[in-house]
Amino acid sequence: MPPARTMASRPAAWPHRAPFTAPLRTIWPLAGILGLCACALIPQAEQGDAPDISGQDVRLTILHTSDLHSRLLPYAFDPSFTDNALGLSDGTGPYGGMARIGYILKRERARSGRVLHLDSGDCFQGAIIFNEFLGEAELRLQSAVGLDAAVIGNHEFDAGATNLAEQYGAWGTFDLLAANYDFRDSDLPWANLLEDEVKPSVLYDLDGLKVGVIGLANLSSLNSIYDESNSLGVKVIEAFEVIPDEAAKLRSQGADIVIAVSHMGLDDDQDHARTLPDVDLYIGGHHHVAINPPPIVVNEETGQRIPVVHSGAFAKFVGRMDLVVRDGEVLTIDYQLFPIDSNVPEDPEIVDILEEYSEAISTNYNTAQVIGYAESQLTRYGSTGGDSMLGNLTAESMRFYPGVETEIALTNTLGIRADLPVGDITIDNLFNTMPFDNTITTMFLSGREVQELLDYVSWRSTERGCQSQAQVAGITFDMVCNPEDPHAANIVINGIPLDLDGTYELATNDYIAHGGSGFEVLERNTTQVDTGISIRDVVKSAIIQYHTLPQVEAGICVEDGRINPVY
Amino acid sequence: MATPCKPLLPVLFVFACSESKVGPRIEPTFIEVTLDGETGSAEAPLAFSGEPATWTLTAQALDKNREPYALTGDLTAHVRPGRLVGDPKIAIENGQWTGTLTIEAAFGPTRLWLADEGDKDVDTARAPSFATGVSEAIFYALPTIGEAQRFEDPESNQIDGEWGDFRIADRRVVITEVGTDGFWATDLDDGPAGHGSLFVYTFGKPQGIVAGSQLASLSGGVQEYLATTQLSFPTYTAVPDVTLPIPEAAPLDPAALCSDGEVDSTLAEAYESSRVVLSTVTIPESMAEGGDDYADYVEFGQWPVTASNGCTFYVDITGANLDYTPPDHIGETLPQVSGVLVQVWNKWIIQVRDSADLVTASGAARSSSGASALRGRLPPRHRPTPR
Repeated sequence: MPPARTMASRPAAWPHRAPFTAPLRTIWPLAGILGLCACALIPQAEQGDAPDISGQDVRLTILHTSDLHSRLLPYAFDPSFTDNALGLSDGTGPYGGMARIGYILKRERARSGRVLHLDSGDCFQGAIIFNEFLGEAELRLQSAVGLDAAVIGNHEFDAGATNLAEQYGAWGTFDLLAANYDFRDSDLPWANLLEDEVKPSVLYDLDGLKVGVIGLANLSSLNSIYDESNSLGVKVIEAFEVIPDEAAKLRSQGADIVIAVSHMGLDDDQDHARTLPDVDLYIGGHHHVAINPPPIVVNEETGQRIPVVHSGAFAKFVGRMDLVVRDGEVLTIDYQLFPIDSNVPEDPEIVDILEEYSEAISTNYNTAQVIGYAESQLTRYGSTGGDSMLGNLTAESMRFYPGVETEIALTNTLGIRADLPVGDITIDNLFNTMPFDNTITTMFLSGREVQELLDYVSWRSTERGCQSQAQVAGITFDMVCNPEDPHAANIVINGIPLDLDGTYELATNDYIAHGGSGFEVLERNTTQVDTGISIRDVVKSAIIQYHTLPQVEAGICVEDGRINPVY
Repeated sequence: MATPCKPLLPVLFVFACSESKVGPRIEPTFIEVTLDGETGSAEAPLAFSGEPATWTLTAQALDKNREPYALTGDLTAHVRPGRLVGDPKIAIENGQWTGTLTIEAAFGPTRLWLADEGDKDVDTARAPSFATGVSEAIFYALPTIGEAQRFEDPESNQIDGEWGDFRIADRRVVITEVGTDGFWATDLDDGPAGHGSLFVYTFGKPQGIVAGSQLASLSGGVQEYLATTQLSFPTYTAVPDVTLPIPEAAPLDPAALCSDGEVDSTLAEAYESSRVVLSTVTIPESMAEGGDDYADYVEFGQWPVTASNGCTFYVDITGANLDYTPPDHIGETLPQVSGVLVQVWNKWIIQVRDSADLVTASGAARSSSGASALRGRLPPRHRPTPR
């Protein structure tokens, strides 16, 4: 891990961080016994000035961002049909960017009375700025736009837990939340830092309306944390325990409504809304979906209708949820999504901060350098759910790279994070598509292990709409997406049917080689060799070599049906 | 403003410790809204209607001490869910307003909002307080699938863009097809030609239902996907152990549905997402390589068939795994094509399910390898992408 570069001196004092940062969980049991409040820094006149809201309608506005994934600078991409439907039009790029988000947030704050800006995590990882500054820019800019609270996303650990603790300690002026991570039992040095910095929940007083916010960090992708499978040693607390406890605590402190800001994913958010009482609104992320209108889930116990808000990823949208509350009951809601494109002005204060970073990465990485040309959009997903253009390019590049040269290659589809849009392929585009600093790992697998590997791919893909979760080279197979019996069939290795008793050398990425995304068959392999060769560099070399893609006649960067979904 | 919360003595901890975030106070602080008229109830709701309904309301602005506040300016009206008809800005004088608001396509518990969001005339605008009051709930019935889809614009629907809850429990709604990324449902009480069919997009293969299952509940985000109504991110339940008959494919009559060789979308809309059958059609010359329809066929898989009156529908067999290449059969007559009818902008496409659905002059088309599945090569929808 390279040392983090920094663009600015760290602030001498944190603008509005609470000096007392011991998580409430630590001493919550004492509260009921001692029960003495001493919020010394809340001006008494201000507290006393709050209106009595009992019996009255009060409007609360939640501004929502999620999964920014380091897209602090505008970037090129081809909006999907769904993006179009949500208001992100073709031809209005480049898209995203924190200065535009800052403008929207400032504008919407000015159009609101009681307002909170909540972020659902994963602001780290996804563009060069993270690779260079390891999260400094993300946290500094989240603070600069006035973020009130964020939940920790799984990618916040991508440069290590110590990095997160140090970067947040230096730059974070918002509340960092995670009720379901318990750092107390760890002896690791960073654990003490995070224990001090991370709160399970926070209670805001918005002119008499008390809003409790619980942080629900990710559990399903803990094994994607940078080092290895849950090497953090975080003790996780199940949601069905932590949500009722935290909600009850906040209610006992006077919360009129309780909001869960979550990075658990849409399915979990909906399950929790359905089964666990006492949370009025879920503000979620992790699945990178923008949903308008937001799903309404009916709680099985109370019958309460609970909105589950997901506002998308990659700085493409800002969400705004308005709720009207009376005596602790959410009476009605309204939701809007604001697309972030070139029609949105930039906040000059944010532009100034960004310039420091953009100039540095432009110089260091030569981000505008053109390395190839895309004649059509180069997609990371296959049109049939099987192999894809970028998947095939990546896997073939890994397999044939000098010094690797294996019989087969397999990489996870989600390691490719974005399509490459039509036009020049630049270094900047390449980093947006392949932001992870993964390297090629080689290993020997038996034929049976190859079968097991592809069975696992088929199982995982079946769960995700029969969209292949891996991309391959040297392999063709039928991916049978029968939910009762997902499996791989008709496996052929370089033109020869798979020999279950044979041995095959595989090139893969170090992330799944370590068991990431559930690839246990790779994790347990004892023949692994980490080549140290960057997959992004390998793909970059291939793009430079071929220059214009796809090359249909040569079969380069084209879908060729090597993964055949069978339903 | 964010004010840190700091206990004086950590051991004597905090019962109601909160971070205060308060801006400068602008009055009014509250708006009280009262509503005249019969509002129905959850048990006896008012009928759902796409027709306008007018409600009389009174608004009173109050200051932070709940005393009348002499606000003079504009309030902004909203309705959730439903559509407001007319200008959302209403003039309030000396803190009071009485007047009417007209809404349409409201369903379920509906509330009218009156909010101080700023004046219409920006030149004389005062700083708004964003105080908001809402009416008591007006209880409207949920729409049936047919009621939601009967709309003047065939590329939209009554509740487009809403989180739609549908009236299902007292209807006979049957799942007619289950595909790899969703299912089709038909309200038998509306019939397949009565706007009563809908596609429900589930991303992956829907679980816990089969063709013939009776739905017990259905809700989801209502949208027009390429002009076909669908529910996204749905929640649904089926009646346990109950199946209903799947309706026979509804015959499409080109003479009744077409004019000047084109399908009249306002008429065809009634069949959208239903199982249909089209008889005696021919594959036209436009399917020859270089012809008008050939490029779309190559890119999207759809190909035209023409009825004797010149009316053109389209067929998509990409999800059916059939050993049939339309350009090889230009000029041939197909006795029968069956499938689910969908609208893709101005084209009406029959999505074929399996070999039995495509009857050629020599009989049913042959299946190629693989099981059948309804999945066309349409642009991708939302795709959750965690890692």
